[in-house]
Amino acid sequence: MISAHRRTFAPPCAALVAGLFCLLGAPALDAASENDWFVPLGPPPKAAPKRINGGESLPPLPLPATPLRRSERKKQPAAPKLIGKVVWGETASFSFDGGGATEVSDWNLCPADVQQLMGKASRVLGASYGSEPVALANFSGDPAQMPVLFISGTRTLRLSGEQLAQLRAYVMRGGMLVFDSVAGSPYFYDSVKAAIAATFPEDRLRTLPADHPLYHIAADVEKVKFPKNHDGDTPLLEGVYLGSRVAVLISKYGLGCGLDDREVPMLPQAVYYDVDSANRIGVNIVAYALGYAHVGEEEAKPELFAARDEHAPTDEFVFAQLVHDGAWNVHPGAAAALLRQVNHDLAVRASLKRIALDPAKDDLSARHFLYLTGLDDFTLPEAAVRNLRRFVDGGGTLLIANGLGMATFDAAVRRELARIFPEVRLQPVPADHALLNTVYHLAEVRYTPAVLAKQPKLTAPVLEGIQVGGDLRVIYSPYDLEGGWSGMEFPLSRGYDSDSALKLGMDIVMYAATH
Amino acid sequence: MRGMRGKRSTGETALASPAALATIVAMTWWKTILAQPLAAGPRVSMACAAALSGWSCAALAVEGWAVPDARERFAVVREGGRWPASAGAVRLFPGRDLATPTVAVVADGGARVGARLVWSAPGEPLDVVFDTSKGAAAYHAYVGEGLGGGPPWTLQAGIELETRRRVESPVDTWAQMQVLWAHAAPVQGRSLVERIFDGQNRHGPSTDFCSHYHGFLQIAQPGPYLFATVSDDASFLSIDGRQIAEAPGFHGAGDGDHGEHAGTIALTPGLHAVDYWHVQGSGPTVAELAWRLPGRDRFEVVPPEAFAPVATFACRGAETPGGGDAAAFAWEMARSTILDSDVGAPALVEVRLRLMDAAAGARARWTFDDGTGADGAAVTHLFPRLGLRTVAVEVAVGTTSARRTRAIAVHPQWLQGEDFPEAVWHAQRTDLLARDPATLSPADVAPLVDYAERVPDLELLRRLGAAALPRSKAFSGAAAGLLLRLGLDLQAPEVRDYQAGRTLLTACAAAVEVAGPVAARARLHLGGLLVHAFLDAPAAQEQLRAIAVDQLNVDERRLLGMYQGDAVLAAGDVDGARAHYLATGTAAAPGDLKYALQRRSRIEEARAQLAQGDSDAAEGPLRAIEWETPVERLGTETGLLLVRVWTARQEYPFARSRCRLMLTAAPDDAHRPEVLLALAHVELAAGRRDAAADAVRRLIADHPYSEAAARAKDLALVKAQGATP
Repeated sequence: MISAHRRTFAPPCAALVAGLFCLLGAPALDAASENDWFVPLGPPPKAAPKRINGGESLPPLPLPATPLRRSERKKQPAAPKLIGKVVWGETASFSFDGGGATEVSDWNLCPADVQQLMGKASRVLGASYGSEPVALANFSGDPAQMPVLFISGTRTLRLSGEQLAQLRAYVMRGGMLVFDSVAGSPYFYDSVKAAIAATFPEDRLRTLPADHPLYHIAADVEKVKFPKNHDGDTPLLEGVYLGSRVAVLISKYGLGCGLDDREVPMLPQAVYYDVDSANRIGVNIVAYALGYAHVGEEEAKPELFAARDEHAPTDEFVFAQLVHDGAWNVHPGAAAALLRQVNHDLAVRASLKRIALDPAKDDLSARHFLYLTGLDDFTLPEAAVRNLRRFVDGGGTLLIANGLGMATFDAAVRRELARIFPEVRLQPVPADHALLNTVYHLAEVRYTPAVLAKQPKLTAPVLEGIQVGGDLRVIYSPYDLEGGWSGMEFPLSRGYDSDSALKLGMDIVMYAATH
Repeated sequence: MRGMRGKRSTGETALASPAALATIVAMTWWKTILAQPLAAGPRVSMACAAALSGWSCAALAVEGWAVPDARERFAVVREGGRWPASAGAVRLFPGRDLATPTVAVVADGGARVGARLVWSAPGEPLDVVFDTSKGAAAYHAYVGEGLGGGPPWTLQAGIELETRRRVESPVDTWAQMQVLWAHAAPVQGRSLVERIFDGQNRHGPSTDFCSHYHGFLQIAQPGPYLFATVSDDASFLSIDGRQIAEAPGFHGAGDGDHGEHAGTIALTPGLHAVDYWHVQGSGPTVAELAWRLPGRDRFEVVPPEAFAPVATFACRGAETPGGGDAAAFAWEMARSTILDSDVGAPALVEVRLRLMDAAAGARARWTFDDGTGADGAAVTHLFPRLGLRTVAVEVAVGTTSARRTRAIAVHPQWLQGEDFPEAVWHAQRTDLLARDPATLSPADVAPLVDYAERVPDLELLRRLGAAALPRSKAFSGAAAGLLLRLGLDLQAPEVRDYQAGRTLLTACAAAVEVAGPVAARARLHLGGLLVHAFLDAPAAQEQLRAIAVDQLNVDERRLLGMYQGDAVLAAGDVDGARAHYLATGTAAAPGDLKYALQRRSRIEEARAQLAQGDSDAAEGPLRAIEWETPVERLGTETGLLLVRVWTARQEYPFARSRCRLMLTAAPDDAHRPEVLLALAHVELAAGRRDAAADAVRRLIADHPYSEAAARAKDLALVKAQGATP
């Protein structure tokens, strides 16, 4: 039984000494207790097996030369790198009381975690990907070269302001950050949250809802197990949304050792997922990162407009999008795709410039069309509730689309609409309604695989609405529309396919413009 | 011409004049014939017939011909090895193969000694062992059929090795090993070896074979001897018929290299028979016999000196009853390049040939059955095909000439230390490229194509394809398959000779029966080529319609469905194409989330590979998606990435055609501007600036506010040519 240990600090990693370390929001805990978490998380290294036979002291017999086989000339393609494990912190020498020593590094307490994960994920996904350590000093910051950065640890994460700015730029270009509080250490978790708050001040860290793709994309992760120190059975992932994707992800409880198929024997206070749970979550993270890599890249692009659209929009149809306290900007650039199609195919003159309005503060009276979307919960201020009611009563059309089609947003929409229209409820839009027959006769549409998986025979468009003065003034799509407009694939999104979404969008625009 | 050397058994006087010699020899021959009993008549007739068909038909012109029925004899002189020895070994190179060759060895003193063949096979030299216990250092070895009458003799020296092709059978016990050995076939070869210490098969591929070493230890010191076997895979050792050691089953050599598989036997001075069986599956092979001598603390490989010696002899010249043969030659496999150690795998082999007795001033002209030739007393020739190959040599000395033609068995040099030495391959390639491929027979072209495909060497394939084009009619029947392969090879990214590919595939389809599988495949691939390289929908549809579908296998039928969809799409019928793709089948239902995830992963893998600049690696996942779900060909996601792959590899016709198909398939697709931009890039890369400008003009006119249009405006092409409307 190994219980005691001795730790000797080696010089900090050369790659990380450049610049001034800053401790961002480090909890006011004493260094001694934090260092208690800085131990090898796996068992002590096994002694090399000894050869047991009578002739071991003698050299082996010589063997005859065997012919060299022809090596395959065609080189095997190198597996592209998906995850870079970020090198940070310090390295120390650790001696086991029972004999033997090893090195411990802040960044690499579970040395085989990512490597193991990539092997498992590759088997599930049918594609081969690799990983490698990344020193931020040498990191290109290009998500196309390295879509995910993985940062794990137990002690306070210490990154310089420059490094955090580098990580922000990487995320804004489409990259994804994954933080693993590898033993459930509060020091690492709290410092990461503080770093995220400082680095992404405009975005809030949100708890991912149970129906988020990250819990289902490769394996359903509804229930999990913690070997010790935690009685719950639900996973906890938190993230920062950028567009429709989770660009920054934190696992409060340890994943790494489970990914390496082992327990954490040397930290009695550790909180971590068991092997099965960790692997399901881990593979999901890889699948999600892969599935949304192109989304990140596309949504990172600036929206392009023709020169005339740079002025205040004066066209007859202006796409005004409502800002709220949830993730309101789900599909940046998708509206432009619809509007280009509108301009191309319809007689309606639509401005390509999407404008963002705060319904509680901005004047909505000049608008005829408002769009609202989201991914999770949101709450409208009272002023916004009043303004929106006024907008609709004044003949405006409010289109609401459920970004990725998630349940949390659906519930929020119904709740907030009940506040705006306490006297009425959303009603299904019948197939023969004018809305579905203005440009295209949409008796049948196509849905994304996630919808078909649950409702394989669903072909009718599903829209709900609230009529005011005989016309539909509120149109709600429980399924994602905007993702289809963009023409991109959003894995596990419950929505319409691209063709159907564009046709529905054009019907809606035409209806709003003519009613 | 060379006469007899050494003592003449007849005691007749040597003649200085060739003419006089011929006269006397003729007389001697006739005397010999007349001296035969009547029953010998048929033998005489056979000898004449043989002479007419290969050997010189001259009269018996040599003296001291001790074995009347022999057809050829060789002077055999000691060359090396330990001496004295109770046995000698020599390799003979007869002028032709005999159905059942036998050998008789006569010592210089005229006494016939015991002898037997170790190995003979069509096209191969004869390996002979014979009794040297009387101590003679020079002999004559006679070759013929039914040369009985030699003294009884058994080889009791050295180690004789026989290897056979392994059959699938367990080797966990002695009994199982014996069963395996009894059923193993064919025999790959026999030879004499110096010790049991082999890391390869001496007679064939070094996988899936089994060996039996039978030798004689010569023990001087009595005492207990500890023998060990080290092997990969199984091995079994017996001495004097007693089971001593075994390493059964399939395993590596490492578990026995400290003598773990050992056994002791007390040996007395004298000869002791050693039998060592070895069985090899796949992977490295080791057969090794070690011993620990009395009083020693460690094992060592049993050295050659521990076995009773066998002296080696050299074959110095050939004579027929008609006289010396100046065109007699010896041959050996010099070096080879093997792509795969399996039997039948393609290999290029260089054979070293030399006149056995090159007279001063002799001019030798070699002719090979692959349409090439060479000059010189010793030459090395590269054969593009294995098997029995015909070699002819004509030797002129002054005004006289001699000619020998025989088949030799060309096989890889099995004892080469490396299967595919790069330097050897480069030299062989230079040799092949320097040849006129038009002189190659279809029989030689086929394995060469096989070889070039597997190296791969696209330049060689291109040359072979170009050579096949003007004489495609020569490749009829079964050989037409070669046109199909070459037609596909010429479409390879590094060759891109689509017109030649089209011609070869067309010729292939015409060369074989309409209903045959080769014709069906040729039409299938021709149809695909016509769509993807030439965008010729009517011609493609004609070829695809003519296919006898029942001649295609399952995968080919799937490909046919895809090509039919492509051809229909190229003709502008999107719904028809969709129907074909859907009828072809899909690997996943629309709601199959697992497949959707795998699809996404593959696309990302392809994108990542493209980002790394590895277009070959990017192609695989994309092809896999379209193979599993052909209707993807109506979309743009895989198509746009494939266009990037093809553009990077300069396969512009493929890239251009795919862009056109995507524009047809998805007129309202959100990615249509991207397709037009991709088309502009393709045309620009292909050097077709006008076509590129047209694509850009169309993009900007139809999709003025698209991101693609914005990026197109940055193209230098647009600025230079004013493509903006």
